Amino acid sequence: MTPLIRHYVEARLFEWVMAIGMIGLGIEIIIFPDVVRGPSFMLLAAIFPKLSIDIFLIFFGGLRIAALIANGRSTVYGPRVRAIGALAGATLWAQFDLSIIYVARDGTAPPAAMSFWFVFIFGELYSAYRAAGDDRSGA
Amino acid sequence: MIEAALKSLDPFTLLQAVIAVLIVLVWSWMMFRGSRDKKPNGSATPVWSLYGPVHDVLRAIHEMNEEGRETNRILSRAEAILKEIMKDQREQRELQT
Repeated sequence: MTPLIRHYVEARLFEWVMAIGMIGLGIEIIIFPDVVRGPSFMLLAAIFPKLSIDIFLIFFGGLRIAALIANGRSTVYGPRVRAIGALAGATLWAQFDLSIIYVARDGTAPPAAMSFWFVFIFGELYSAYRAAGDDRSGA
Repeated sequence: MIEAALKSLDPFTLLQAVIAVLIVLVWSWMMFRGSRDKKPNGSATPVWSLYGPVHDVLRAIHEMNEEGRETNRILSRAEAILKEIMKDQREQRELQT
């Protein structure tokens, strides 16, 4: 069991964590709909309906996990889907961070997650870089 | 009409769009760099991390060590053969005298 987990997880731990986190957040919104009223969702919830945020999170989270599992088998589509998932993640985390800054602009103490969302953006962009390197399409 | 539409936009909404576009641009650049930096053997180690060249140097040192060991083995065998030849010659000389 352990070698199997290591085979899939070890090299792409960040991507796994982010993908599972996205699905987890999607489930959290289903169970506790008021989560979207939090500071991280302030700007997104103003533009998009709650359901679309939920679908976005679960869809991209699931897609990323599928791509991570398939990555070794499909050296063309796996990395591409991983890169697209990383783009979705980076955009989402940036929107969360911006929302927190928006909420904190009047001097309110920003939530602790602010710095985490910020570094996650760079982690996602680096994941896209790694995924591009794994692409074996010859392009 | 365009002015009215722009005025109705909150500065943060514009900033949101600018950051989203910026992320897409950086992502595109990272994808380009990732494709360019990838090695034919499948390793996506970034060139700028210097890990690749250091790894190559370590591998070269390891190969040099292996070659050195192989040379030593060959020289030891050659020494043994030469000793054998010298022994034979000595015995022949003793037989002649």
